[in-house]
Amino acid sequence: MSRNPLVSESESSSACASPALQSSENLSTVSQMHVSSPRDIIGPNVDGELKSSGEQKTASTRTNEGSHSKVQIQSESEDEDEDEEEESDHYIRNEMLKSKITTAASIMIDRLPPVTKQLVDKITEPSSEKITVRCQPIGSTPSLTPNVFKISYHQPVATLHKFILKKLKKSLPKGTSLYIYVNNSFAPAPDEIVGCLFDHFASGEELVVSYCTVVAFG
Amino acid sequence: MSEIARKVWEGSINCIVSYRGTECYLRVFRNSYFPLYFQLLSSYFNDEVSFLYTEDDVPVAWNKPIGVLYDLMQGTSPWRLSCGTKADEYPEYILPLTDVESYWCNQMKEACYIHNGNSKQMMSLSRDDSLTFWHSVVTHNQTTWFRMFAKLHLQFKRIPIRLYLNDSKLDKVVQWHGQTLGEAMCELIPELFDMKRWRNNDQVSVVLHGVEPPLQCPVDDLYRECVYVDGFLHLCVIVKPNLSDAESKAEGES
Repeated sequence: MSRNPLVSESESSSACASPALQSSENLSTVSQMHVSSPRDIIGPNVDGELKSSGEQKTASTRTNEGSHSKVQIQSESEDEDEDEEEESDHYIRNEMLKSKITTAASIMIDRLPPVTKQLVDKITEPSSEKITVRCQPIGSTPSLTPNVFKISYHQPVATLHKFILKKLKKSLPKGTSLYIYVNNSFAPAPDEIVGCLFDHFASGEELVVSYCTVVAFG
Repeated sequence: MSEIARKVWEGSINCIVSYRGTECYLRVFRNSYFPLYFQLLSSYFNDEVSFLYTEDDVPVAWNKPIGVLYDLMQGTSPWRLSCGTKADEYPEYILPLTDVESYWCNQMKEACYIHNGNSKQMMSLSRDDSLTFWHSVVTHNQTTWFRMFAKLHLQFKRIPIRLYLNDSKLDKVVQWHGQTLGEAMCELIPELFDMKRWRNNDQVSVVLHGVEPPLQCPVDDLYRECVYVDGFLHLCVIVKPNLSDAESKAEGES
């Protein structure tokens, strides 16, 4: 299997470092949380994509938004950089975390009666709603203009992290880590959904996220 | 400390971890993190372990308590796992392994924020206290952990819950007004927990530490007894195919 170009792309821009990261950590390992572009996503939510023909012997692969093909990622990711530059002014691009489930769990989902399955799909279906995020620098970290962005409800914190880092790329030395905090209190896990953070921690209509190049709240 | 809290804390899972034909029999605590065992495994296999995966090649996330992973992934007993080392390609489905201590600390701060509306108590712990707190996680010392946990002065206005539905994570917070688990579930996922429709249906179950707590349990009692090491109550909602339906269908066909 050939290497996914998305990975190398994200490695160079040191994608989604956890805020909990130690700065000494090698950034290339850090950025290995793969993401897939929204355009790669076809098909419904819970459809498992079986890895080989040995159906129930293998685990199924799926993204949060559905299955996708690897070929598509490769062909589309080449022009990704330009796209991002164009559209990222106020709107943060979608990138879903991939997940993989065990055979036992996938068999169980497959055997659900259609009505129940629809129900489960409906609950876990990513909503198209967008939320507002206000980004504030801490200390000497450069600020962003504009500093208010829209992001899809179901995006993981890692996407936001990657986005801010990309925006700051010019003003920060290469390889700088970035830590992000919610309400100046805690660093959310990279796989946490921003919409859920918004639901619980938003002040007014905005989720206030602060970012810093050093650990700010030990 | 109650009997229940003690038993929950001591809940453990038997694992057989294999690496290049060598097997390691390991008993891990449900209420702990896998990376805390990596050092032990690394010295046993004489190689640097950086992730684990299951028999069917699914990488095991490091950032959820082991018990949650086991319940979600429907692990077997013993749970057969294999090791990946630094030399192997790190799986793309799980978060890159980072410092577990700061990850845990931030989860605890988040839990603290949900309870109290700020994380001051967690942030104002003295250096020694924070170290003792983290050390109690590493050594799995319940008495110390609960002593430190009590120092956070949680107000129980809201209960931090992480909810998982089959595989997907739905973060939820319960506003606590003496709610029972059943009521909370009706509020959180009304689609599945409409009491009228699902009352006599065993398709949906809520699993906590591998057991199904009765839906009449008050949520805050559950939290006090069964809180996970990161200050959250991780509830796995498992939707099972209705076996009696499937059986009757099979009978009908035969």
